[in-house]
Amino acid sequence: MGAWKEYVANLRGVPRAVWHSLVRQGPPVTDRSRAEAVFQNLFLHIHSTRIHRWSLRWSYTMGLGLICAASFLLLTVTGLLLMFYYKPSTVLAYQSIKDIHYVVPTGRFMRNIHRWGAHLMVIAVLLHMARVFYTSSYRKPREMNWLFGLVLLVLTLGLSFSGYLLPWDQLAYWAVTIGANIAQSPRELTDAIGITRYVDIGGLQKTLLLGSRSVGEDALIRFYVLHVFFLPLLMAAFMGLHFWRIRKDGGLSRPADADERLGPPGEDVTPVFSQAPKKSYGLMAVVRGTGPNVGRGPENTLPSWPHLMTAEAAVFMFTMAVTVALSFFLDAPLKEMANPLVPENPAKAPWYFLGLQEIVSFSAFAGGVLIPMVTLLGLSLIPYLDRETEGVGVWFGAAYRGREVAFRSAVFGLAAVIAVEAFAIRFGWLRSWYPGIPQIVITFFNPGTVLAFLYVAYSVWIIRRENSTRLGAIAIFTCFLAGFIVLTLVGTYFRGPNWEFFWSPSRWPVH
Amino acid sequence: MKKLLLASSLVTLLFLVASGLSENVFVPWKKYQKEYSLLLAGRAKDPQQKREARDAPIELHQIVVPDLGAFDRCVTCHRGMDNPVMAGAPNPFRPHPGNILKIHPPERFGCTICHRGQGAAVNFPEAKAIDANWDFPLLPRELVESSCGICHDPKAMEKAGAPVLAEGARLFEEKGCHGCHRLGGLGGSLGAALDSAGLKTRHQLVMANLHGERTTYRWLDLHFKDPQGIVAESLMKPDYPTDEEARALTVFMLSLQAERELPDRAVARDRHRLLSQGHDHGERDGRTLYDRLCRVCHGEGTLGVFDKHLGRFVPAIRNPAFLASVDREFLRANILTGRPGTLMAGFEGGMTEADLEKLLDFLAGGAALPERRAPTQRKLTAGDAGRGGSIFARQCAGCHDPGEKGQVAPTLSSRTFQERADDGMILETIARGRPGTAMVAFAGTGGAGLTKEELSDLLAYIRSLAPRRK
Repeated sequence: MGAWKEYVANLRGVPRAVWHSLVRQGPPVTDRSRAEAVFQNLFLHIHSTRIHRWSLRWSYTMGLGLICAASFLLLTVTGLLLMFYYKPSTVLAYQSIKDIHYVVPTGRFMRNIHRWGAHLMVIAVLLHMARVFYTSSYRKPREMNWLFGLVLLVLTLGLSFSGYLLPWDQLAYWAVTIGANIAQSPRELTDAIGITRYVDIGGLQKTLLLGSRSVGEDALIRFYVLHVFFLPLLMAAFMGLHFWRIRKDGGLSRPADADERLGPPGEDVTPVFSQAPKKSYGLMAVVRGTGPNVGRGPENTLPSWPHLMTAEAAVFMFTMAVTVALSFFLDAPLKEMANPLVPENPAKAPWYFLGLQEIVSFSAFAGGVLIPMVTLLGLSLIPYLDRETEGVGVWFGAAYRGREVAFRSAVFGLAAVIAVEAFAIRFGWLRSWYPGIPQIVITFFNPGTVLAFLYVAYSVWIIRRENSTRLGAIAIFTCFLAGFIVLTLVGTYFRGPNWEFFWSPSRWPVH
Repeated sequence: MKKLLLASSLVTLLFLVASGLSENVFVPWKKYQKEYSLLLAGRAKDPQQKREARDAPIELHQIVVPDLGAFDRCVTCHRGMDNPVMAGAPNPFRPHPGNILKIHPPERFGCTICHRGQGAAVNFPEAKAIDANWDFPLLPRELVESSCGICHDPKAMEKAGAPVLAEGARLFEEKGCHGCHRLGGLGGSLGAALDSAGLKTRHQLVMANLHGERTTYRWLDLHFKDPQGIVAESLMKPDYPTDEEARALTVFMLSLQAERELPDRAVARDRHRLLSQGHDHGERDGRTLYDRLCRVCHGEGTLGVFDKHLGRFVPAIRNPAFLASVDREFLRANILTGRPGTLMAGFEGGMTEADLEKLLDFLAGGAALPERRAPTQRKLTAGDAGRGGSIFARQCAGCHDPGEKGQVAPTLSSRTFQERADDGMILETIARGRPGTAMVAFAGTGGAGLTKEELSDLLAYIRSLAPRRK
């Protein structure tokens, strides 16, 4: 009889027992159980168990990194769902998108989320980079993580671009045709010095990208594999590295005097230390570097559970809310089926490449290779050239005048790009005055390179005048950001058929 | 943070539910199917039928015809399409008019092969696809006949349900469209070839002057009525067709889809010959050929005509004086290569060899036109091109501009003219003129009284206009 009673009791206790076998620590109410809630969980244990209050300030990070990660997650899930229906073949791709749009239950919504989420992710990645830059968070020991971030930026653009072709509509076909021609642009240089016959880097790049001479079946399957397998895998790996390094580099950056700046914690936060710690922090002593608790009391750290977890959930849900709201009201574009015989005019690359396309309209090599390579190289070098230590963890942080230089550089950067563009639009460029001019001259002397030169010169001037590499870095980063924004806007809104200037798309001649 | 979390979660939930409902529950086609069930039940004869109508599952229907590229979901709403019981019901439940579905069972042909439109769509605005990102929007009822011409010979359809299409094909020939446009291997090269005119999308036509709906069929209709109003630089002669004529021509244009790949099973036997030999299957005589190819510019061809649209004199190619100075080879060369620099574009490839000979016979008008006229035996004195130039400026340049374009009368500098017209012909023409045209006789007492020497000088000058070989 006893066994029977025990059996009944066990049966009633099953849900509880299952829960306890899953979550071994008790409810997260003590310091210990809160810590365990994080480090006993495979998915959460990438977080530290305690987090500094500075890192939780909304005005510091704006949650941008998390928005990137949340978008990626959202894109992965919707992308997987779309893969069930999408058929990567030139004959079937367009029809399968139409099916997703019209008959797959909620397919239209999923595709919209995937499309708008991708745009959101590109924006978030760019803004996240700006945040990290302006708070000097790339500095030692975070140089390598800045580089990983740049890799993630390139992967994000690659993922977005490779996804662009998949619907196989006119928009996709001609945007990728433009992209492939940009990949071929080193030929402009090799042609000019007459070595294309021996070293055809441009042709090789284009062939690698498309798998054939023009955008077709090979290009589609190539982009598909890149988009659904290769790039996401790399992305996941580098995201892992990126997060891991945050932990290893001592959490998010913060100023040395963060504790004083913050003052004592408010009444409403979960007590900083409710109990005397039962474990020593001895382990930290054998770890190199400055962990959050080495040589300093843990007073201004909060338990990650619940503070960080709530914040992350909030940012994730916020990203989701914005994306689903957009996706409910706006359908992802889908034009006529790709038709190699009917070129789109203007054929435009995805928006984040339109700044480059604006330069490409003068010289494909300058816009497609020279400027982006120089920009990426410059960005990679920033943490190694700026070895100052003041101003870490503060917006526009520098030894002095960071905010002022950022503002002045923004004004200079905007003025320069608008002046150069206005000149080129109003008066034309070398080719319109001297039709016979060799292209190699324009390759190195065009609005893009002129602008880059002005920006570099301005930044060098700032370094010498202010005697600060950090201020020079702020100057050039701000200038390039201003240039990127204005050129992208010009490419998006003010360029019409034959890449001519129009005040608005409503004035385009209609074909 | 907690407030943001809560608010975002609620917004997300709201839109997830809203989109789930709007894409799966409140969709128009489900509403139509429910209405159809009720209508059908109302018209049922016995309780059994009534029950069946009521219990019809609400589900998506589609007709898939892979070899025609049709994935048509039109039948999702048009449930009563093949049900005679639904006669008189409102759309989308009405049965298909006529016996077309008997001849062309939907399961073998689909809907969009005839009606165009976006078959994949499951709501009417997107199925209609006007001003949407779709190449072939739904055809208005009065233009649907055009689709018969995809698989059938238009002229054979006159009594078989497509009189407007047949009328369009007839008008195309009657109005001399072949003169500039090649179709079915027949016609000139001044205008665009029209074999696949019906497959053009709106992005291939200049839409700048088309206000309102930008569809190809509206473009065609208005372009027939006012070519220059739609395409400012168009050379097409305004023909001022009536509304019916413009519609018939539009229908015929839409039917031209030679490049479309069709399964053999769908194509009527008479269509194959039509694609290679034209809509009369090559059965045409010299007179017909002249009317189709030449008349639109040259008129009857016996008198020189000043064409107001072209802004120049068009040579009188059936003028006896003209014919007396030329041979078949001259005419053949002119017809095949045209006169570069003028609107006379070559017909090479635009007619068969037999056609060309029939046309030459017709131009000769029964008189024997020598294959090769012997060079004139008249003794020529070597002329002075300099003196000839001043005579030309005085006597000829008013009509024959020495430049490339030829002003209002035939250009004398064109290669075809210079290579094919021999000295005798040129002298003859200047001296005797072309009765019935603006070209009067310049020698003798009646005209300008040019002497033999002056004629020689003029000839030397005209020869100096020949384009240099590159």
